[in-house]
Amino acid sequence: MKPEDLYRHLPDLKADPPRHIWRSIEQEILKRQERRFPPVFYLKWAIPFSAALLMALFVCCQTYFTSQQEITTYYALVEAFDFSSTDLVFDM
Amino acid sequence: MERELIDQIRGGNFQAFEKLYHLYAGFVYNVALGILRNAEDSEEVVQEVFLILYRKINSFLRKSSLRTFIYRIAVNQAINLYRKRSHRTNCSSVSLTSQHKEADSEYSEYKELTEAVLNQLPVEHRLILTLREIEGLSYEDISKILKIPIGTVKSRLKRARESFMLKARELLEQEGLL
Repeated sequence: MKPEDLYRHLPDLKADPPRHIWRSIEQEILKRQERRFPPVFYLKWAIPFSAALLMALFVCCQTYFTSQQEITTYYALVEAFDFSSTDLVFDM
Repeated sequence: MERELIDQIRGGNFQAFEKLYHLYAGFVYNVALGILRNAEDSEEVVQEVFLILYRKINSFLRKSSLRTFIYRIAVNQAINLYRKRSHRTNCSSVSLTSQHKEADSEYSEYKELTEAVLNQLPVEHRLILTLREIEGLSYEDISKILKIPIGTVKSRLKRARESFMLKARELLEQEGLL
């Protein structure tokens, strides 16, 4: 037997992968897909959460505009009655 | 065909991915085996490579061929695992042949001895011999996978061959077969 004979046998070391590997890859991919957002997730959490967020936004906007309106009304009243004027006091 | 396969996988066709697995699993397994010399670890590498591939197939830009892309992931994964487990080096490095023993005893003896020689080589030499002599890749393919010039591939292969011959001679002398 010569070293060259062993070298020539290198291609014989080629092996086939065991069949069970594909099954475990397949299972792992399916498991990961399930873990990533299942449809129930959207029904259970995402939709109610978005609805609550929209509602909160609406309330904030409404509060803001109402307060803006109140401030405008206040200044309009102040201007209309002109409380700073002293004329009224002397007239009395 | 490669382009079609990628498009099918991107479109969510799982059978196309299975087809891709059967096309390249052999190569990935043999490269891992060449580097790690351990069947269990090599199976782990095959699994990891195809999971990475499934995740990254959408970001594959087709700059290189899919084959080179897969080969490169395989080599990187196997080397990473080899580094992680370097303390275990030759432990279960095994006679892989003994797991699938052939009926022909002379053939089997050759195979076992060849494996024993390969186990004694540094990982760099094992890798290049696996790519060239076991998988039969061209110098150009090896150069792309290892990202080294073709000249370096040739010189590394020459050194690996010399190292193999030296170890083979030592082993045959030890066994009294020379």
